[in-house]
Order: sequence, then C-alpha cells, then structure tokens
Amino acid sequence: MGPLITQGIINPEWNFVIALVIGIAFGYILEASGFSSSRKIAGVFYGYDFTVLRVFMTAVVVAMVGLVYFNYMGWIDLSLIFILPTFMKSVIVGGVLMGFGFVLGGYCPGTSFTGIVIGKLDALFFTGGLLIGVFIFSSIFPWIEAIYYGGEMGAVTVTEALGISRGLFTFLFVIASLLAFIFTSLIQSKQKKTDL
Amino acid sequence: MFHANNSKRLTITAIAFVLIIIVGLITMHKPEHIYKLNPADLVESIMMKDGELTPGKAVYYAEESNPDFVFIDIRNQYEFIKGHIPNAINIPLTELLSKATLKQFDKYSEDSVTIVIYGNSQTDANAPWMILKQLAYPDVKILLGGFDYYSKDHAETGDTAGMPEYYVEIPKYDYAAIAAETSSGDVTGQDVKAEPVLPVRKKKKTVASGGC
Amino acid sequence: MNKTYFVLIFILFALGLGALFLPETQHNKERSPRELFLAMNNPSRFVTTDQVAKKIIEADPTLFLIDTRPFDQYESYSLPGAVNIPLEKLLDTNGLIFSEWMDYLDIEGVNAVFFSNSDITADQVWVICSRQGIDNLYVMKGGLNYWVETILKPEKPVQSAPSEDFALYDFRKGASQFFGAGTISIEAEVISEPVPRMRKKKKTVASGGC
Repeated sequence: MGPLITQGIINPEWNFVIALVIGIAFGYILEASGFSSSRKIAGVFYGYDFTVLRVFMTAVVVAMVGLVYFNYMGWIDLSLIFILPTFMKSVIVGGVLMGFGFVLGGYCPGTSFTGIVIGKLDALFFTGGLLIGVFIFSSIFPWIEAIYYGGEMGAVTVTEALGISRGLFTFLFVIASLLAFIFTSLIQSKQKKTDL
Repeated sequence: MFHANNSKRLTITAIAFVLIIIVGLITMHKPEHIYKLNPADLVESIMMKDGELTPGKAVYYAEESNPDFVFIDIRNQYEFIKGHIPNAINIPLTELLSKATLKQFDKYSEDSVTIVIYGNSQTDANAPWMILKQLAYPDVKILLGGFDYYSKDHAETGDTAGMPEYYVEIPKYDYAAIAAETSSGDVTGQDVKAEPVLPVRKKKKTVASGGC
Repeated sequence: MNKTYFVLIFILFALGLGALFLPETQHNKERSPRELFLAMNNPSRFVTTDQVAKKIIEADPTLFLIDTRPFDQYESYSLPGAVNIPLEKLLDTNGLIFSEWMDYLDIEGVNAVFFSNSDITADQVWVICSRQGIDNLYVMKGGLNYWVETILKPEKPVQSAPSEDFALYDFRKGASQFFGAGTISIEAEVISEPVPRMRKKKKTVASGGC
C-alpha cells in the first residue's frame, strides 16, 4: 500500500498539506514533552534531565518497530521509502557543531520555534543566531563545499552497511534503548534525591 | 501532576499501538494460490515444448482410454455436450482455480496422471495451461490444435505429416514476399524491414540515460 | 519507578523480539494467480488484426507493437514500427523481465500489442509479463498468419454477405495497399510514419521516469 505518494495513492500536490499537518503535530508533541524549555533540553548534557533522550528514543523505537511490522504486513514497502544520502565527513563535522550549539544554546532548531511560540526570549535569541548561522553558511559555502559533499556513501541504511537483517537490528536497537531508559531513570532518581 | 497524566496517556497510546499491530497481523492477506514455477523455468519449459500433446497422440490415448491421461475440457458445458474428447472431464474456465478443481488436480498429480487441457483452439487453452503450469502442476499438457482440430481431422491425424496444421506458430506464408507482391516493387519490402529498427535503438539509449 | 513503565518496557521488548523473527517480505508488483486468472479471462486482451491495422494507418501514438518471434523472423518481415522482444530473450538470469524491455512495456498510456506468427507465443509473453504486474498489454488475435489472410490478402465476401462485410473488405483492401504500399506516395508515408510516433513515446518515458 504505502508509501502513499510514491505508489500514487495520494497526489503529490498534497505534499505540503500533509507536511503542514505533520508539522503542527510535531510542534505540539515537542511542546507537550517540555522541549520548549532550554533547561530541560540542556539537562541531558549535565545529567539531571533525560527527557530529550527518552522522548527521541521512544519516537525512534516506536517508528522503527511499527515500520518493520507494517512492512511485514504489506502496509508499507520499505524498499520504496526515501532515504537521505549519507555524506560521512559532513555528518561528523555537522554533528559536532550541532552538539556544541545544542549545549550552548539549549535548543535545537525545531525546539527553538516551539520556545518562541510560548514566548521564551532565549528561544528568540537562539533563532536569531540560527538565521545568522544560515547566512554565514551560505556565504562561505563555496569554500566548504568539499567537506559538505565529502565521504559520499549514497542512500545507505545501517542494516545495509552492516549487512545484518532488519529484524535483528530492530531488536538490538530496542534492547539498547530499553537499557538506556532504565539506566537514565536510575541516574535521575539519584540526582533528584541530591537536588531536592 | 504531569507525571501521572503522562503515564496514563502513555498507556493508552501503547495499547493503541499494540492493537494496530495485532489487527494488522490478524487481517493479513494470505495468498490463495502460490506460484511454484518461476518465470524463467516457465520460459525454459515452453521452449523445450515438453508440455505439448499432439492431436495424434491425443486420439490414441483417448480411444484406448489410457488411465495415465485425463483430458480436461475448459469450454463451457453446452459446447462440451455438443461434442468432446472421449472420457474428457468438463471444467469450465471460470471454475479452473476453484478449490474443488485444484483438489481434483492434486489427486491426479498424486496418482501421476497427466492432465491434458484443451479448449476450442490452442489459444483458448494457452493461458489456462500456463497458469496451471505455474501453480503446482508443472506436468500439465496442452492439446495442440485444440478441439477444433481434433474433431475436424479425427480420422487422418497422424504425427508423421511433415508440418501439420496444428503447429500454428510456424509462418504459413512468406510475409515479406506477400508484402512485396501487393506492392509495386521490392524496394518497399526493404524499407519496411529496415525502418522500425532504427528509432528503436535510439530510444533505448535515451531511456537508459534518462533514468533516475 | 512507575509500574506502568514495566508493562511498557515489556511490550516494547516483546515487539522487538517479534521483529527479530519476522521473515523478509518481498514487495513486488507480481500479480497473484487469482488476479492473473481474472486478467486472462478478460476477452478484451485480444485485439483483432483490423484494429491493429487501423491504428497503424492512423499513426496512433498509443499503439506499440511488439514482435515476439525470434530475431531472424523479425528481420525478414515485421509490422511497421514493431520492436522485437523474443520469448526466449524476455527474462534475465533472475527470472525478471529485462529492464530495457520494461522501458517499452511499462509506459503509461501506451498499449503494447504482442504478436507472433499465430497468437500462442504472443499469448505466452502476455502471461509472463502480466504476472509481473504490467498493465495495458494486448495480444493480436491470429497473429501474422491471420494478418496476411485478413489485411494483406483480404478475401472478397460472397455476393449475399451483409453490407458490413463489404465495408470491412473495403477497409482491408485499402489497408492492404497501405501495407503493401501499392503506390510510391503511400510508401513515403509508411517510411515517415514510425518516427514521429516514437518521439511522442519518448516524451512519455521521460516524464514518467522520475
């Protein structure tokens, strides 16, 4: 059946409408999870609040398990879904940069917008910086183009790169995330005792 | 406050998630029939021509009522009543994939009885024959010439004839000669020949480079 | 820790464990035997030689002729504009239709018509292609043998035949002249005719690609 647009079940004209609906839902969930607070987000780096990790891991694991089952049931064809091409160099460089920005600013791009919506000033500043960063990036793009397109691996998935089955990888990832949940909740319960 | 609320919501979503997966697994589409023969083997088998039964042999098997062969008439019952191969069994085309039919066929292949399928012409029986071949019955045979040929030339059918009429895939005419004959000269024949090839080759290249 | 979390952890673990044992599913367009059976019982998959002749004369861009006979037979004579896809060269080593053939067969809005000397080989190609989920495939009933009998050398109907038969005969007679190309002026049309038809199709392929 799925992916709906690739298979011609939904017209590509609906792309933006669907994007809008999913975007609103995404923003709502971010806000509802408390991601509009930079303290909560930065907490994962200082070790007093692991909501970010738990929310994102839950989202990943649920989507992963769901897609694997849907693929098996024939509701979606995983071989047809769009996979972003991997550029190894830029992923590493960009990941480090983004991590620094995350810790320093307490927001990631998406959450900074939810922060603005509920009227946080720091989120407003963060977004200003984000726009300046975008401007700088596009200005110096010709010089960093080699890094940006460096280490191209094509549209590769983890299971393809490692050569393991999708089911095995899902299982390992579920175990890893469950361990992460338990471990972080143990840390947090200890933290709370000392904090409060 | 937030925490209690949260865990309740979590439980509801978790139940919904599990329910969706369970419903999906239960309602999962189970294939009714499964292909046993892949297309490559099918083509190979067609090229070998081992699934064809000549009318001469058919007459021989039918008249001595050979127990190793069963004739399946896929025409409708009226045509069947009007005339059919002796001891043939009428299974109208629409019933071909029904459970009862396939059960019967399973029994035949268990008893190593060869199924021979025929219609009015070979064309009528061809697709049904191929579908049965692709399911679990690779040894199904098709009657060349169909019932039309069988009934018409019943008396003089013999395998000895040089190029019998029931080999329909053999060109009956020299097409190029006829095309030239109806035209004014032989120049035309060459043109018709050469023309279609050229644009095709070009197109092939364009398609390959134009792909995603 | 909350009790519900244990339940949730257990559910996730169970689902993850289940995912481990899910077999890999093959998603392809392959028709199920039942679907193939229904498609094959549809009599409209056969087209008559008259329909094909009419479309060739009209230079109908939706018609795409495919000759399923071996290459030597194709070379000696084929219908104008036909492409040669012999049955024995239809599939690659994986048992799938060669992708270059797919570029001809799986074009939206184009009706591929198979023909051979009779219609058996063409029909066999039809079944194989149809199983792989390709739509808009047709078989020319009777094949080239019947093509000769009806189009190239039409038989004059008897005097008492209904007027439709005479109309058909007139059409066939005209078509015969067209394909045999009795005069040079008509012949010129035959030569120029396949080229624009191909171009139109080319566009369809390109837009359908991405």
